[in-house]
Amino acid sequence: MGLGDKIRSLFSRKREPEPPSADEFRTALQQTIRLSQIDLERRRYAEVAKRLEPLVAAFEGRSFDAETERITVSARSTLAAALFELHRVEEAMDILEGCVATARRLESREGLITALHELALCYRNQGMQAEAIAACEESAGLAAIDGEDVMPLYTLAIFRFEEERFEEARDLLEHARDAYENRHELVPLGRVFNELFLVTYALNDPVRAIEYARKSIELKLQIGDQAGAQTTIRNLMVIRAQHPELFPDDDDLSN
Amino acid sequence: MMITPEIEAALHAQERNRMNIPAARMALETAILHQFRWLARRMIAWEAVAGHLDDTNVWRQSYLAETGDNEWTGDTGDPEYLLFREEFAEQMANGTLVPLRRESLGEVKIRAYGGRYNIWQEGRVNRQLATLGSDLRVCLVGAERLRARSLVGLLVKAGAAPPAVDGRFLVGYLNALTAHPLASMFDFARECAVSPLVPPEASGFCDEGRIIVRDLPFRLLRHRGAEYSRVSVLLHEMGHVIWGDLDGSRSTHMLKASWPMRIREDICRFTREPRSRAELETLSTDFARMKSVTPQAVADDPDFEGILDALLSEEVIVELPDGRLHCELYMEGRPWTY
Repeated sequence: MGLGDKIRSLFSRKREPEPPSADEFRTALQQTIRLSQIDLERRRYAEVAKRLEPLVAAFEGRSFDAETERITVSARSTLAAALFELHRVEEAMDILEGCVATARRLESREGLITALHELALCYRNQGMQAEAIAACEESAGLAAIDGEDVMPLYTLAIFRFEEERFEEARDLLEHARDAYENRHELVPLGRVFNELFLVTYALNDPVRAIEYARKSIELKLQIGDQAGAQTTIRNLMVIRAQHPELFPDDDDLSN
Repeated sequence: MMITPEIEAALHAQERNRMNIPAARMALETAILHQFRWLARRMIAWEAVAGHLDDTNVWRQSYLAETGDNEWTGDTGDPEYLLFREEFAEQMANGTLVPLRRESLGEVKIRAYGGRYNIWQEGRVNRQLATLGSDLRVCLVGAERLRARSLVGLLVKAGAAPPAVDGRFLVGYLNALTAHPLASMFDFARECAVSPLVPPEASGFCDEGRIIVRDLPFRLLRHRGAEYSRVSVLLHEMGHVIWGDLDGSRSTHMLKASWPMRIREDICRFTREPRSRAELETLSTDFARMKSVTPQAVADDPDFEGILDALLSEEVIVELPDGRLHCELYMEGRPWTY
């Protein structure tokens, strides 16, 4: 083969596509996680599972550098959150226990906060209350240091409420309220007002409870959550039947 | 004085009444502006005493924030400006103005409806202002870090170093839209109280995923005949937030979920005074521009017209006989809570 032929054959050879670089892989993975988190927030759990299950399966048996492994923890936690909502709780638990172990090894605080929080929800679902509370406490404590995710704080408040530790539940909810107010996250803020309404009523403080209920209704109407507002109004009606003295005669709750 | 008896009485009167939103809004705006202007003065006093205040622009910035004097040419020999400086010096000399160091700012309490709140509870103050239909907002840099620190003892046992107090704050009236799909926006139309630690030349910055676009640097620049572009500053700061979202350094999915609701609230506030459809068109354009920078993330969100139609069908906003649109949420006679 002459030189000309050699050069021609080099140019005509079909070249294998180059594998993505580590940076490209990480960016693509983060994009996928980001879209999945939005889907999670919008309750499109099946779509999250469909997107992430094959991806997470492909991680099996592969080794990654520390930075990429941190991102895989996030992908696995996100998938587990969707599986939990799809009632595949035991699968979710398995994934999350692995995530917690990896995040501890990598000293990945953010990964640990999320995985522990999701794991707490799984434990609770399986009736493992003590483990659930321990995981949630650790998650909320870690999150508190950096002002990270507020969800563990909110979940811990719900746990305290269920344990009938109402004062602690109220204090935690007040902190969650501060966080959501500072972040202008109106949807979860509405939920916090609802819980504060229930907790303060459980604490035999109907006057404050009514204030929180009104706040909840006001916010929900302002953000267009008519159904949520109606639910709180119905709860207020129950309280009005029990404590008519707390409501002026002309009080129109729907106003 | 941090708060005067007159301001306290006005707040108290509205706390008892809670049926007059316009009056409640005015009383709260007055109280917040007074308190933060006083804090700014106290911090300037500290900087002056410590010998850190050698930038004339800090004085210019403070003067413009307090007076809103749009006619001022930046002349430091102007009698009004000199009077401001003299009054300041007198307050320091007679002891009414106690210097406040940056580190102590985190311990300050702010009087709003319902009591006194930690300064880092700026969200509480801002929610009260938003509920009353006000355009005024407080932005304390690093508020979230200080809030998280308050959980020490309740959740965090030990080992957490206290966050440094940043010391920067801005208080002022915002333009209509307050939310980007990935971040809260403090797009100031007019700053009224500014910490001396905010560099006078900083036209915008990001803080904990929040976008801040300022007004005073542009006014200071204008005195020198310089041109500026607010939109370019806004886009630049958006870039930081989008990059933070892309590289996963900040989780923003919760914000995305709240974004359409924030816009809804903004439209309500904007139509507190009756507005023509042409005026709303400018909001719609800004909305579309923000949505276009993150099309994938917000593809399923309603468009501006969809949000407006919902408000009209719920009769939160009504069309007046002359065709203008009016939100009735903030009218006298409606109850409000804090």
